[in-house]
Amino acid sequence: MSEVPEGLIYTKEHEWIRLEGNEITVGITDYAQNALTDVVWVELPEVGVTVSSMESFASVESVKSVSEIYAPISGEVTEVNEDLEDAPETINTDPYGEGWICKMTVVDKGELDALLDAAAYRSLVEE
Amino acid sequence: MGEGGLVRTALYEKHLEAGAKIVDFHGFELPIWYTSIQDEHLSCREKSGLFDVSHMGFFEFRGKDVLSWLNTIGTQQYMNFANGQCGYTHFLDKQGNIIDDMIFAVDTQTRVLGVPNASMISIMWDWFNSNLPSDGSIEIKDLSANTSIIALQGPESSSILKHVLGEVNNVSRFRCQEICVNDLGITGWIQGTGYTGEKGVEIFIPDEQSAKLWDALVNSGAIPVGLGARDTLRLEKGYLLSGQDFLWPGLGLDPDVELPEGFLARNSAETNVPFGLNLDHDFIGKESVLKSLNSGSKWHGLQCQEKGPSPRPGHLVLDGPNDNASIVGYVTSGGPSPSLNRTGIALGYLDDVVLGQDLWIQTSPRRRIRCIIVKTPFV
Repeated sequence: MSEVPEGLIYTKEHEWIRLEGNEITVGITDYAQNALTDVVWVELPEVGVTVSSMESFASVESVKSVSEIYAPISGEVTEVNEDLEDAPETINTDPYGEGWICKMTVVDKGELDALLDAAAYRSLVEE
Repeated sequence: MGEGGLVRTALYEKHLEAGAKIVDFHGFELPIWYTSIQDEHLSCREKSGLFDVSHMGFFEFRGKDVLSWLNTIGTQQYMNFANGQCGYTHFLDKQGNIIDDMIFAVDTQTRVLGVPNASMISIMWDWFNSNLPSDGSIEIKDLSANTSIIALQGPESSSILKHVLGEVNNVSRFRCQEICVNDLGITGWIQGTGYTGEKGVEIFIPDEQSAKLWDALVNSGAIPVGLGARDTLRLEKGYLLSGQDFLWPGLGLDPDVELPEGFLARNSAETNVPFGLNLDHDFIGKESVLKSLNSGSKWHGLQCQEKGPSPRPGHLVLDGPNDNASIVGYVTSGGPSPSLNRTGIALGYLDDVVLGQDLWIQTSPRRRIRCIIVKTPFV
């Protein structure tokens, strides 16, 4: 059973979002890391880049495949988790904590309303 | 038969019990992994690996001159093969393009067994039949449908096999035989072959015996390994994957990744594979092989020298890091090497290059990774 913590926002593409003030932290869910298994490389977005919602802006690579990570909302990337370059497996061991991928500013909070809460995401992955 | 017309092997329930992640592999429901590709890969290198490869085909060829016939259609020199010996071969069309690669096992001078790749069973069946001698002296049987194929590989494979099927069935590398009488009552065929580069055997048995043998091997310490690690294991050894590293143009199929038109139509010399090609006899497609021997593009190993996204099929290989660099070829197989601490490794057809040369692989739209040409196997 995948862990789906309360209080986070989720996307159908298996990303999680933690909203703090006008900034979000983005990562991939426990379900996603479990489906990928061993993460061997994370291609991080560039700090300062402005992305639109659903634009591919990073990728997570496992032994067998590469999965694109889509910007969950529109905004500017303000910080990336450079520790993942040396320890990509952190995504497997701590997907909601040390395995975060990047931080972004929020342009339109309305975009967040279209995403899923923990209960909705839980029912998505339990289907 | 499983869902959506997919074929389930006789070991399907065993895979589910072991927690396998099942995927559609050429129309078969097979495990891609049980725990993780990385762990299973290392298990096979360090201890053992147990694979269900029942999707592969199994043909029997009988006839007085079966070895000399094989010699005329394949790149291997089978004429001097003793009973109980196996060999790798390519079959080419008249233009020299590889149709498929196969392992043949010589049971006797009048009976030979061959293992076509899963996606090529019907194609090879038709091709062999169209090339049979007109006098009817050679007969082919397709035994694929009711045969389970279990591969036991790795340094501990021999001790596990001895424990389960006895010393009498402990065949050495590239040797083969009918399975001798054993306590489990397993019957069929065993050969010292595999696709991992490790010591090991492939065992061909009736479907109804496969669960019993699988359980006995697992209970004796064999570790189930999925097709994901099977691919990374063969990648590290520089073995060709039919359909991915070569693709017969006669199929009229496009590669799974974007490559220049006809890029995977290759002859044996171009693949650079150091076994299975013997030029002391005539075979279909030989002229094209001879022309490619000393020139043109060849399949080489590339090892990444810096961290970054891994090389994957379809990636461009260039002679420099800058915008004005020229394309020297494309990756056909690649990924992080589990045995080399996940260093990126790749195989690809490259023009006019030499061992040790620096090249760059475009591993993402934003990254070009420096690599060098190395002699395979990588490990």
